[in-house]
Amino acid sequence: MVAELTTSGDPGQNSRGNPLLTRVRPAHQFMRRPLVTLVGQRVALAVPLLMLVSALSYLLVSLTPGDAAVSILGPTAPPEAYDNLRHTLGLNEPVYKQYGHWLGQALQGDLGRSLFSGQAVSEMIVQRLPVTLWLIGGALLVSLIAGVGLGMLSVTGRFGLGRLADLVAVIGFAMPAFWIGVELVAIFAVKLRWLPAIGYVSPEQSLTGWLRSLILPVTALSLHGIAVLAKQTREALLDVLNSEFVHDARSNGIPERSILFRHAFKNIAPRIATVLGVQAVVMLGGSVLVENVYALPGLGSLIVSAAVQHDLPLVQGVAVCFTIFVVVINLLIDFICMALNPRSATW
Amino acid sequence: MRNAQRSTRLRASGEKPRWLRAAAGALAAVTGIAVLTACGGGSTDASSGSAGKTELRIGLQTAGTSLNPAVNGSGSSTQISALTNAAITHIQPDGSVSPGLATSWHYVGSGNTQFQFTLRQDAKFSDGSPVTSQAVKGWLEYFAKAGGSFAKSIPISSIDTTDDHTVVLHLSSPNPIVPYLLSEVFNIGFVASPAAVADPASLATNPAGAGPYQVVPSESVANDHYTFVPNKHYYDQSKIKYNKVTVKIIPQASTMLAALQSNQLDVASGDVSTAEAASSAGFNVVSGPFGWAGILIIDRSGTTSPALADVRVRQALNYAVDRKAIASGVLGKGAIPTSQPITTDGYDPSYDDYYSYDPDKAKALLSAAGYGNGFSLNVICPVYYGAAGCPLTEAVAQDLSKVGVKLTVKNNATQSEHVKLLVGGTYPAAGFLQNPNVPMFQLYGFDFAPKAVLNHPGWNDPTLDKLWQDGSAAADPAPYWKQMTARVVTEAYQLPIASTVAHWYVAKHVTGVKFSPASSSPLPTEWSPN
Repeated sequence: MVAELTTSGDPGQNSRGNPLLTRVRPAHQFMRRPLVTLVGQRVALAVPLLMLVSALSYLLVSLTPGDAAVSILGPTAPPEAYDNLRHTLGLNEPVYKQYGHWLGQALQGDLGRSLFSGQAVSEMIVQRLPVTLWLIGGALLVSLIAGVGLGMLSVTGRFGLGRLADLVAVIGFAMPAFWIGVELVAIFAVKLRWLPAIGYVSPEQSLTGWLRSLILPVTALSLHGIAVLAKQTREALLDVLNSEFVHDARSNGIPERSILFRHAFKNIAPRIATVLGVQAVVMLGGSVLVENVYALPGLGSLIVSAAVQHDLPLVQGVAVCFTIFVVVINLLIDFICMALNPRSATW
Repeated sequence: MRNAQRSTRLRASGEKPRWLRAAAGALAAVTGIAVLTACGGGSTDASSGSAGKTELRIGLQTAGTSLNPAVNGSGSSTQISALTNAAITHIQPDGSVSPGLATSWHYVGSGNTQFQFTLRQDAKFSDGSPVTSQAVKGWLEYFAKAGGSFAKSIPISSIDTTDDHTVVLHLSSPNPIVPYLLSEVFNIGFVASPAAVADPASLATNPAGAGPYQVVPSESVANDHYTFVPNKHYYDQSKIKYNKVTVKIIPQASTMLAALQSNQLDVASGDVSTAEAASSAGFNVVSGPFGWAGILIIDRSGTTSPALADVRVRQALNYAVDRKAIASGVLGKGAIPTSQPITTDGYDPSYDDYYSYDPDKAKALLSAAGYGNGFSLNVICPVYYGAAGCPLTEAVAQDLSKVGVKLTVKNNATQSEHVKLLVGGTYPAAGFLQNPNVPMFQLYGFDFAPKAVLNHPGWNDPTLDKLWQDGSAAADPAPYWKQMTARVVTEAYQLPIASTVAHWYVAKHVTGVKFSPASSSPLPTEWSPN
């Protein structure tokens, strides 16, 4: 899905020398198909993917023991109450019929209502989507800045950072996000009382409150991303800086900073973008745990409670939303890679 | 030389030296962090570190199904509903029933089949409409049809409204506890306005009751947090103690404690795993009895497990468990070993130690019943009950194995899985945690009536049936409930282990958090700034 990338100095076809030291041609010159075709292609692929994901999630939740009627009524309702409620909720029908009914509604843009709260699923998703997007967006930004920065510093050896990227990578890989989350709460919320332990404040309510409510969860979620990006940046940069065209550039007296930022970094940028895309999807999974640790009203905590309660329409709605997120991220990465390296636009 | 050249270049370009830029950046970062960590964002900010006494912040582990009392069960949802919906009668923290929306009530004639109550004349719903007998009738009729777990808690056959404020309930069978059932404990008393009842979907997000507060839908997210502000139509404004109440749903006990410790909550529901830490952190820990935990013997007729039909076997099971060790080892501090199912009105302390731990006596009873070599029993247990669920069942299994009874325990991860198997008729026994607010009248309906939901084999005991029938129609039923407790214990119809304990963590600036077995959910409407 993500375009193939090159990370080392490719001699290219420029007759004046290495193409990476020259201005790149506009992306559209390399496109074999218009942009609309790319988007259409991705959307066409997304439709069967969405159906597959929704069918699988429906099947898996249906296979787990119990059902929504007993979750709603508890253990002390009269026996006929369970049957009545199952009938009302349509749970008496075979799973394929229930799924067909849901799919028919979903294709008309209606994701149904929560079996528990009675609220429209789309309304519940819209309420909680911003929290998850801010969480993942913030974590991606922090991962990008800190991860790439650390990777570059470790290569250049400035400030004595040396192999710090490797150390951070080990720490980031070894510690799960939820554990880091718990420790951050213990230090910064409980002991120091600098930041809140739980909850989310919308930016409309209070901008500082919003930032404060996101600092710890974003930090917990981004540590793994920082580790991955630092490691990838360091390795990619070392590859490029040891390549022939960089030796040529140095021989021609081009300053080291210019080589690093104008040429080498431009060369590894598509690789970083690809890693960042993968991290976005990884963070989507991590957000489920982090949202629970920080009691954030996002989609991750919503799908956990919905699955436990057998609230199938809600599980379906969030699963579809997650799938769309993954499709959009892949599409965005395609665009970014294409812009950074037009020769990769050969779909 | 190089540095000198660079300095000359910087001076020429007006660019600041690198160290100066770095220092400025560091200063800006430190200032930003200081600002972020210092300012709380105001009293509406969930992260506020200095909320005044005019805001009450509550942490609950669950929120119930929705804000509509007609589809909710008991527990945390009661605390939320009590904020927005005044009940017809009011349950006091000590368990006594006092006036709510109704100022007086009585049974008409004998037999407990007609119940009349009179509504106060100054009560209004949050939408401004008056609380009338017609509104109450509409609510009660809707409640019965809504299909919630309490839909059939009062067997109403018809409702008369003799004037604007008098309601008469005609019952299809005798029921002596209607005043208790109309309180906050069972949801049916949480009347909503006629306009909301006409649009039941709206009740999920705006319950439109006649309580002291009303929900702010734009500042609430279902199952995560809710915001309430005073209801200007509430009939007794002096009882509104806070300008704002927020409820945050936090399922994890450790996260709940962290939220308290970081001053984001004033009152929170706790559990045994964090009670000691909460106390050490300086919070008042309010503890009290919370039902009973043990093994529910379902197949007393011996349909799937013939041994359970013999009273000697059931008594042997009761003698074989070391309640004291299990209570302290599994349930923790505060759990009281007991041999009786705890009810609000049938509790008799003399039956707590009726079956003292005596494995030899258990073996003798099993031998006398023809099970000297023991027998096997399939049991389910609820993982989600914490220590009172599967750990307790496993501890019981360990004790029973010493007298030859082998329990095969199936762990159920979710409530829906557990309840489905519980009422499904395939398991003869189950790990169980009984709510504390259950009167004997209702316990009989759940566990022992011939058509009870937890009596799927259809077993019955004529002696117990008669006691229940006589108590149901009696003007003073209390003695019958005690006799029913005696019958249940001596016939060993259940295998109770201990009464469990609930914990509430309360900041020093809040007072009035109290509860009792009959009123097991402390109502926020009773709390006030200290």
